[in-house]
This record gives sequence, structure tokens and C-alpha cells, in this order.
Amino acid sequence: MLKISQLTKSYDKKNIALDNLNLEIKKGELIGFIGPNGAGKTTTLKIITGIITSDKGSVEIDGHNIATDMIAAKKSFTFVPDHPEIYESISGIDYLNFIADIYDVSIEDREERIQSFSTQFQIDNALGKKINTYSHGMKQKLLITAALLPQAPLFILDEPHVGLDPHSSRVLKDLMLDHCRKGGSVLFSTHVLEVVENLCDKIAIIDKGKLIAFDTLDNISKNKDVSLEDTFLEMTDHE
Amino acid sequence: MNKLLKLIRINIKDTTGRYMQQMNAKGKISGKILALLPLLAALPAIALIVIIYNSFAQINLGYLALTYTNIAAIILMFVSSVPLIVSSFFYSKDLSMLATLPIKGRSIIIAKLAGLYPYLLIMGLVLFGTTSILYLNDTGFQIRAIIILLLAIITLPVIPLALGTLVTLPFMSLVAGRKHRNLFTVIGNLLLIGAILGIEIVMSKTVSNSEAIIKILSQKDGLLNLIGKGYPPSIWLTKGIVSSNLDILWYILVQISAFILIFLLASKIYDQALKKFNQQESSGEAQKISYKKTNIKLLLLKRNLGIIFTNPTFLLNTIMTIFIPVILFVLYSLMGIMNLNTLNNPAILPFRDFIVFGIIISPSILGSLSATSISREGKFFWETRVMPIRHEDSIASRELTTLLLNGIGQTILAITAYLILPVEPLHMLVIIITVIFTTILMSKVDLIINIERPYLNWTNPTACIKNNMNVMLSLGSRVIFGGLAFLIYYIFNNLNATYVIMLIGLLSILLYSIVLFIFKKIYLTKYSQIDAI
Repeated sequence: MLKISQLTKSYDKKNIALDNLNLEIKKGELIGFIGPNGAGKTTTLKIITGIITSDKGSVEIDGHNIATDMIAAKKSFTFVPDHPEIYESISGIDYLNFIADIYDVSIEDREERIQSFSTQFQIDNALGKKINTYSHGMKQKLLITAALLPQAPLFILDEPHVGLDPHSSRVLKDLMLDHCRKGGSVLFSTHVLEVVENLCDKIAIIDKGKLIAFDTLDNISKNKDVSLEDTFLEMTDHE
Repeated sequence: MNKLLKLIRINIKDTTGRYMQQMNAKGKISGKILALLPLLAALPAIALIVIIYNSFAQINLGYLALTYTNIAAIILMFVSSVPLIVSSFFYSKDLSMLATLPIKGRSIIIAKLAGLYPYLLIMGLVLFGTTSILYLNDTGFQIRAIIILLLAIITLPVIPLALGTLVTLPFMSLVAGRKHRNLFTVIGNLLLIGAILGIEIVMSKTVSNSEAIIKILSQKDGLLNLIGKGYPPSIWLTKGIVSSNLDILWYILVQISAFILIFLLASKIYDQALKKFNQQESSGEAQKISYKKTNIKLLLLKRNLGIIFTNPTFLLNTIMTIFIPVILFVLYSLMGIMNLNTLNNPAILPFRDFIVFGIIISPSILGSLSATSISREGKFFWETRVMPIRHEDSIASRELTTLLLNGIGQTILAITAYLILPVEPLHMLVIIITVIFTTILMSKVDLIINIERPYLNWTNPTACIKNNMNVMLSLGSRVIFGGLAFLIYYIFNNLNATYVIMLIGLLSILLYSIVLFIFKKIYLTKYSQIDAI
């Protein structure tokens, strides 16, 4: 579903953000992407989603290269950024319809999905209101609803649980699992290690732009009595 | 194509929504009426166009007003398009979202330009639309002329947008990787505006050359060719409206070519300018670490200046409002339009003090920095709200920022004016004191406007400082002050100019005392009640 090969990115010659990163996500897999602040998580996700370009390496989504076959690649995923910055002076429903139009979601499907997701996230009553009246959490829920709407094979989320209430956080976890059960894949970054521990098939750990681990929880934490938190801190400890 | 239309639709909807929000237009009917209020600002321009048209019509050359206003509209739209393109393309927050969607880069560019189209169309409507109505009224509303003029009005923003894109985007691509890209952006914009003003002045100088005019009048279509020589499509359009089908074909061809040019270059522009520029955002520059303590008022002043200086749109707007009088003054002096001979003409000698006063006070009259000082903070407004800072200090730092920036422009103008138009040192002292008090008054009035109408939830810096009702209200306050100052001049016309200026200074002090009283009674509390977002 997603194949990242030798991804390298530097913002200036001294500051290497990503160093030869390789990662492969198969269909049906739910991957948690963790790392300390500034490790390169957001940069990786930005390159995967085409927001920025890499200096070296390639990204293939569902067999389409993001650099050379951009439109097909972008049709294969949806993205929820860490900051909900979208058109603010339109209503929530206008935004969802816009996304549905861009991803060619039929009228029947969009109606059914918007009603279903917005009800689950409890924003159905706010859809007619302007987005700039939404709270941070509501914007986040709207973005997640928009990302779920096209039912693209790959679902990418950058720290999606920030700002979500416990109910919506649970709904999101269930939806991510459901998406993978149906054959889709999910890649999400987070700092909440419990979510990764309980939810993910595999965990990718990035530190200083390098992928230092990519495996199942059992294989990463060789000793079953040691928590992911301890393993993570041990692996990323620079002292 | 369908996706492009959807993208254009959402862009225009967002732009319109933002505009209505800036105007505080909430009710359906009252909102629409309020949204049209800025058109009142166009009334003086419309009145001027009527005068220009009537002047041409008196010599049976009414159609030349079409050429004239067509060029004026194109220049105005072009100049306005540059900061609009920079702001909506490079400093807009929706780009990251758009970059992840399965839409071609070309579509993003065209949709963003379409979002700017209504703004420019309104400018074109005021200038060229007014002349068109006057011309049609004179010539009996012929169907052919109506169709051509409608076509001309609708397509009016195409060429300025194409030119604006062609000038701005390669430049932005060039500065994308640079360390001081924001500074380069501002300098580039200033150079461009300076160049446009320079060309305008040179053109108007040619027109004012009487020998050249006599020679031109003797040629067929001489005047038309003279007026339209800087922009030949305006000649083709005028000839097309009057009679020539071939010329109208040329005109349409140019419009289509401009559109095709944008269409063909859009993908390249997206990849090589927009994407490249926005990638740099992620890179961080480390500065020297310092632990020194700073006085709280100075700290707030630095913060307010920082908000302006780190945002190219704010910086450009500040420089333009404060330094446009300086730029114009320097340009006019360099071009020889305003020289020692004209300024030292005995006929204007009694008004010299007024002229010097007018020149020095102009940054404060044209600039409404305090009217957007709270709005500029946007989503960072909460910072000062949660910190243990007195509201008085917070407000004072905003006023100080305005006074400092105005003061820089006014000092440059005062020195230049004194060198070109020497006035008695004592007179100069009176002028400077009056300028200071008037500037303090204006700053306080603007701050009241901003406290009354804070606009913190903006997504685009241009939306915060342009097309904003605050700026219009601020300019309205200048008109009222100007009216009162003229009343003083009118009542005391037998007095020496310095005394009149002194009285204007006293008026400023009196008004400031009233404004300060109102401010302390009402607006200090209102400031504390502004909801941070």
C-alpha cells in the first residue's frame, strides 16, 4: 500500500531532517508512527502526502509514485494534518461537499457517510455553521470526517487524537480498526504510546531522521514485562 | 474541469465569506447593504471619472475617456494584484490542505486567481464601468457597444492577473531558498510599485508637454494613440467600440492569449514557485541565545514590531502606508515634477507652511496602523491576555508602535521638506509639535476603532489589514478632522499660516483630551472584554 524508499530530506546542508528512510506498509495494516519531538515524523508525512518534496528517495502509494504520478497517488490516500487549517469562512457541510467533489464521491454515498461520521463524532448539528465558529476539537472532527468520506485505501493522520474528547477518540480508534479490517491501511503519528500499544499491528520509531525500529510490539519490546514507553525511552535516550 | 470549477467555487465562497465577516455582515438583508458600504469610498473616483468624461465629451471625444479609464483600471488592478497574489499564494494557510488533494497544481493556481478575480473586477467596475455607462448614455445604448463593453468589463481582470502572476511568481521562486526571503519579498514589491509609479509619472509628463500635444492632435487618432500607447489593447478596445470589428478581434485575442498563458504556465508556477516557497517554512534558523532581561513596555513594543516585521504582508502594508508619501515625494523630485522652482513659486509662498505640514502629517493621515493593531495579532492575541501585563501597558505599547513607525516616516519627510521648502525654524517647530499631537490623536482614535471592531480570526494576512471596515472608519475620522481643520482656516483666514497651524495643534490637543476621557471611561474596559480565540 505504501512504500517509502531511501527518503532523504535536509532543510539546509547542516540540518538533515530525514536520513535514508525506508518503510513499507501492507494492505490491512495499522501502523503507529512515533518519535521524539523534531524527530522527522511530520516531515515524513508531509513528503508522503506531497506537501513537500524529498531531496532523494521515492514514495509509492498503491503503486503510484507521489512525484511522477501525483493525482493517482493522491486519490489513494486521505490526510488529517496536525493543525486543522482549512477554509474557515465556509460552512462545515460546504467543506465536506468540496472534499466529496474532489474525490468523486456520489451524492448517495456522501449523504450516507456524512450523516454517519458526523453523528458518530457529534458534529452533525454544527455542519451548517461556519468553520471559524468551531472549536479546535470540532475542526479536528470535521477534518477526520472529511478524510473518511472518500474511503481511500490509505488513511494518514498526524497526531489525530490531539484535541479530541474521549468519546471521539474512541470512535476514531474504532474507525481506524474497521478501515484496516476492510482491507485499508492506516498510518498515524502520535505521542500517546498507550494508543499505539493497544491498537497497532506494527510500530515505526523514528529518531533524528532515522527509522530506528519498524516491527510488531512484541518484536520491539523483546522483554514482555517492559512497556513500550520504557522501550521507546531507552531507544531514543541520547544521554 | 469539473474539479477545477468546484475548487474555484469554494475559493470564491471562502473569499466572499471572509469579506462578509470582515464587514460584520450578519443579517441577510442588512448584511448585504453593509457589504456594499465600501463602495461609498468609490464615490470620489466616480465623481472624478464623470469630470474626465465630460471634459472629453465637450470636444466630441467622449470615447477617449474609455481608453483613459481602461488603462487606469488595468494599472490599478495590476498594482493591487501583486500584494494579493503574494498574500493568497504564499502566506495563505490552505495550501498544505490543497497540496494533499488529488488536484492538479494548475487547478490550484487558477482557482486561487479566480478567488482574486472579484476584488479586481470591482475596481474595474468603478473605473471602467462608470465610463462605459456614461458613454452608452451619450451614444444611445447601442446593442453592439453594450455587448463589447460588457465583454470588456468581464475580461478586465484577466491581463492584470496574468501580468501580476508573471511578475510575482518567478520572483518568489527566486527568493524561496534565500535566508531573508520575507525581506526580499517586501523589497521586490516596493521596487515594482516604485517602477509602476515612475512609469505613470513619465507618462503624465509626456501628456503635459504642450508642444507634443499639438503635434499629436494633428495626427489621425493621435490623441487615442498617445493615451493608449502604454497599453495598446485599450486602443483596440476603443476603436472596437466605436466601429472597427478587426480591432475588437485583436482585443479578444489578447485576452484569450493572456488566459492561455496563465493556463500553460500554471503547472510550472505551482511546482517551481508555490511548492518551493512553502517548503522552506519547515526549515528553522537558529539565532544566538540570550538571557538578558528587558523592560516590559520595550518587550511589548518589540513584540508588536515583530508581528509586523515577520509578516511580509503586514510589513509591505506598513511601508506602503507610511512611506508612500516619501516614495511619491522622492519620485516627484527625481522626475522634476516637484522642483525648487515650482515649490518656491511666489504664488504658493503664503501656503508653504501648510504644504510642509501636509507633507509631514501625511503618513499619519494615510496610515491606519492602530486601527488594525489588535487584529494583526490574530490568534496570538491570547498571549498578552494570559500574561500578568496591565491592559494600559498593552495598549500603550500598541500606540507607541504606531508612533514610532509614523515618526520614522515623518522624520524623513520633515528633513526632505525642510531642505526643499525651507521654512522659518520657529514655524517648523510649530509644525512638528502640531504633527506630533495630531499623530497621537489619530493613533488613539484608530485604537478605539480596533477595540470596537477587533478581527482576530483571520486566515489570510491581507484579510486582516485590507478591505477592512476599520481602515475605512479610520480614514473617515481623518475626513472629519480635515473638515474641522479647514473650518479653523476658513474662520481665521486673516491669520498667519503658523498661527492657523498652531490652532490646529490646539484642536488636536482638545480632541485628544476628549478622546482620552472616552477611552478611559469606556474603551479600557471594552479592551479587557475582547475575547481571545
